[in-house]
Amino acid sequence: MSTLRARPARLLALAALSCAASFSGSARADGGYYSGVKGARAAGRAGAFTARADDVSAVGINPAGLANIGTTMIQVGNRFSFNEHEFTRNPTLDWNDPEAPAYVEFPKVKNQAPWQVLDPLIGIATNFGLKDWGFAFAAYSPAGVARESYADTGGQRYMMVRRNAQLIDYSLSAAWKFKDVFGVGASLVWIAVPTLDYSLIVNASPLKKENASAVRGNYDMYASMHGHDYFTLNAILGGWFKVAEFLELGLSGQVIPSTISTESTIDVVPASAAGNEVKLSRNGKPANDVGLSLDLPMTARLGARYIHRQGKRELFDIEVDGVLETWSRVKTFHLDARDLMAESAGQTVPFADIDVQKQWQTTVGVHLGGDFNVLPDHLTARGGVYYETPVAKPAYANIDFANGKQLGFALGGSVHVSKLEIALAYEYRTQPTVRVSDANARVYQSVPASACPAPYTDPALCDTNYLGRPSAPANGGSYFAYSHVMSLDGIYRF
Amino acid sequence: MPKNPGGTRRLGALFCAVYPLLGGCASDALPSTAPGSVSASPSTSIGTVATVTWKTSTPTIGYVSYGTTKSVEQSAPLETAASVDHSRTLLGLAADTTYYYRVITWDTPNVTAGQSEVLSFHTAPLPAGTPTLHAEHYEVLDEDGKPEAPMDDYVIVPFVRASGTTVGIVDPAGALIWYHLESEGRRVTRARLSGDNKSVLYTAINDENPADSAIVRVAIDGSSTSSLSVPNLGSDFAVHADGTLAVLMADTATMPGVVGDKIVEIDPAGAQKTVFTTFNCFDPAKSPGDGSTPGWTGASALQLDSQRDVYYLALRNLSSVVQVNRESGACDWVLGDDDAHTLEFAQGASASAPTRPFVHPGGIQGSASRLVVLDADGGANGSRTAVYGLDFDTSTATETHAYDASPRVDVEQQGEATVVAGRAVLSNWSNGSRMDLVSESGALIWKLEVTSGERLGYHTAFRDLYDVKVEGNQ
Repeated sequence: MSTLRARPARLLALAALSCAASFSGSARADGGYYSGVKGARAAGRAGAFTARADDVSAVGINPAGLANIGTTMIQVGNRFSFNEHEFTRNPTLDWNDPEAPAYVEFPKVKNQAPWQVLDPLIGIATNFGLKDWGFAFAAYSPAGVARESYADTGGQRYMMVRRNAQLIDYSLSAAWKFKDVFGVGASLVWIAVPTLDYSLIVNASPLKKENASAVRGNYDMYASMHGHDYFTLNAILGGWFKVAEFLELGLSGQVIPSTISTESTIDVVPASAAGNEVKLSRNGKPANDVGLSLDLPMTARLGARYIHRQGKRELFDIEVDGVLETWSRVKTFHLDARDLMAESAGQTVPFADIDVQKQWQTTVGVHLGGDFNVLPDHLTARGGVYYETPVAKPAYANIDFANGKQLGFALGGSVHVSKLEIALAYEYRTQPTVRVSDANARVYQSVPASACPAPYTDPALCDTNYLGRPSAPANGGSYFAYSHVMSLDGIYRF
Repeated sequence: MPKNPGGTRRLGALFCAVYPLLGGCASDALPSTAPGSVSASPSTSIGTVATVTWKTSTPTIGYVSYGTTKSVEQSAPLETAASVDHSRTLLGLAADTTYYYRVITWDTPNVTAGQSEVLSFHTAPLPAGTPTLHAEHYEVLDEDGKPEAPMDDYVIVPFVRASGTTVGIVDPAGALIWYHLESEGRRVTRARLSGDNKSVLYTAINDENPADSAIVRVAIDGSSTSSLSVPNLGSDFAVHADGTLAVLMADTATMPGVVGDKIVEIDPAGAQKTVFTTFNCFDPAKSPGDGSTPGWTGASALQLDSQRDVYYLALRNLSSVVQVNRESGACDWVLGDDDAHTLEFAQGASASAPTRPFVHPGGIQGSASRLVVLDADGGANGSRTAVYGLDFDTSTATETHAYDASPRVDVEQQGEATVVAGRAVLSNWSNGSRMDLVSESGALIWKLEVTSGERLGYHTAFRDLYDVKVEGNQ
């Protein structure tokens, strides 16, 4: 019984965990919580910037590149994006009528908040007159999709309804080089998360016959989490080596395992008139605070840049980067309920910690890009393409992130006017369609009050239509995502 | 840019094509549970019945939604056992009508739903010789001002005419939605659904050669007809859940020269067992009967109460109804105008509503505390239906309400009264060629007229075509 009663609270926790998933992260990575790169010059090369890394965006890509700036520069920019994420849930049967369960097809749902107009970067880099040094301070929101919002009644509702994640990274960097042979650098990153909101629908029914109300249920609840984390430290190390006049290598990585931990609250309200109210408490007093922890990946970037010169001037360069991101660290999203108690339908039960299974995997990305000096010192064109392997297996696909494979290309350019460089980049990023059958789906409707115990095969306690599963699959369907991203930076050198 | 999602989707697809070595576009295997080879075959013998068949690549359960519009708002029940070859008979169809249907499947191991296209078929018109019917519904308010429950039952009943009998099922709208013509000209008095809902059974009595009588079984989908020979078959039978039949038969052996009646059970294997004979409770010397029908006791109707394991038996010539203990074969009680009676007709609640004994009972419906009788000759205005409350503390039967046929009918044979929807009484006036559903207050809720004039045999009312739960008992 205690297990059964613990479920309502657990539901809430699930919601919170899902919130965590919405996080867009800190250190420079391209997949998982993140998408794309920051800085118009880096974005115009499709992220192939590890070896070049010669503006303020180097603080997140390869801080060692700051040793080559040779001057002082102020970089101010913004990233405008349109982020579409579509999901069409697989048809299923509505078992509310067990004799003739209706065949229900779900309309496609789309992100109702696709426009992201504030995604800034501001920073200053200088060598303080020291020939072999470079320093930088930058503040920026990591490249990613901050908001996603879907209809409360959409087919995705048991995965997520909406999220809002606001993040700011403050980076302090230093770099040193030995002549023009090699250089090293490091960034210390302070990650602030002022807002992390997330909500979803959970099925709090304790009844066997409604344990897997795949379409709708009288005990559906709207669970939402609101949280923040003002301080998480991270660090990025980098280096470069000039093999020859025409070839440079760059290497960087976030090698310190770190975790974002939020202070959050959870609220639960019935999504239908029949739902029971849930009250949370601790030590007999109302409380709804929880903690959420999200592991960040370690990353490694290796770039090789070919430089083609005409005389002493660089005519063009081509760089290829390989990026390894250890998203396999993210096995679950962990919610610490801190001994909360949940009261529902007149019964009070412990609110257990929750681990939401993600089972993400390490990703590999390949980025190819370069610059072409059309009019030396006046006009530069650039472009690139990239590919990243999926962070999630299809069985664990979710609407919270575009976590299938990612493909993209970028085009960009810079106009130099005296000491001012205006850089503009367009990036197209897409996640090709990911299809998940309900048979293979492993993200389930949250049923915190269910009396059906693992391995969910007891026909006396479990819905016989879903034996072997904790409840109805929630993530079966087809996913498609794409982003149009425009980056605009102004870089002033003096 | 965002105004052309189709274009961007195509662009994404192009990437998939360009990067095949990178794994193409992610997709796990989607089990095909969609029903295939879906077709409907109207029965060649019963135009208002169709069988839908389909196949699935994995074992699934499924059901058929159907209707006269593409919204297919009716449904036949979900299968209970998974298979790859499926068949479902659709019942309750109107004649000469286009029906739309689709199959819906559920693959339980893979928790995956499937659905077919909406297809259609056309039912055949009713053949010549089937009865023409007309139903009327009336809105009636009860004593609290709330609407009485409407007629919502199906009725299975023989339509008897000299040239032949049609066994039919009538829906609440008065449409004949199932029919079978008794082809050998035998007399049909009763039709019932089999315990498994797969067949219709009816009495086929050869009056000229009683040894040729039989219980005929017609598959509900019209696919087959068979007979169980029951020499000396009487006018009624009942069906047990296990398929055992209880039939009325003439008892010519117990007392030479006196034709009594007996209840014989015939199990599915064909073994017969006499569980009761009217000689158990009646003495021809003391209860000679009035000879209104051939034979001594003139058993007219039989009803099984499976929950109480008793039979109710109407004895027309003795103007009596008895409750027969199935186990012992004894008469638990006798009510009627006979010396053997154990229950008395009590005085009514008032002088204006006296308890009137029934005379020459037709169909009956008994229970632990109530007896409903078609009183063929007990009313001053002809036949009537009467409901009696049974009180075993006082050994009395009190008439709680009654309803006279209007216009007058003098039921000659069969005729029946049963309670449906919990309280209203469905009166079958047999040779009056009509049925009335009447509230307790005597208001007419529904009536069915056989405009082609056939006489009605005994009827059975039930609520769900696919899950027969007979109103009252079998």
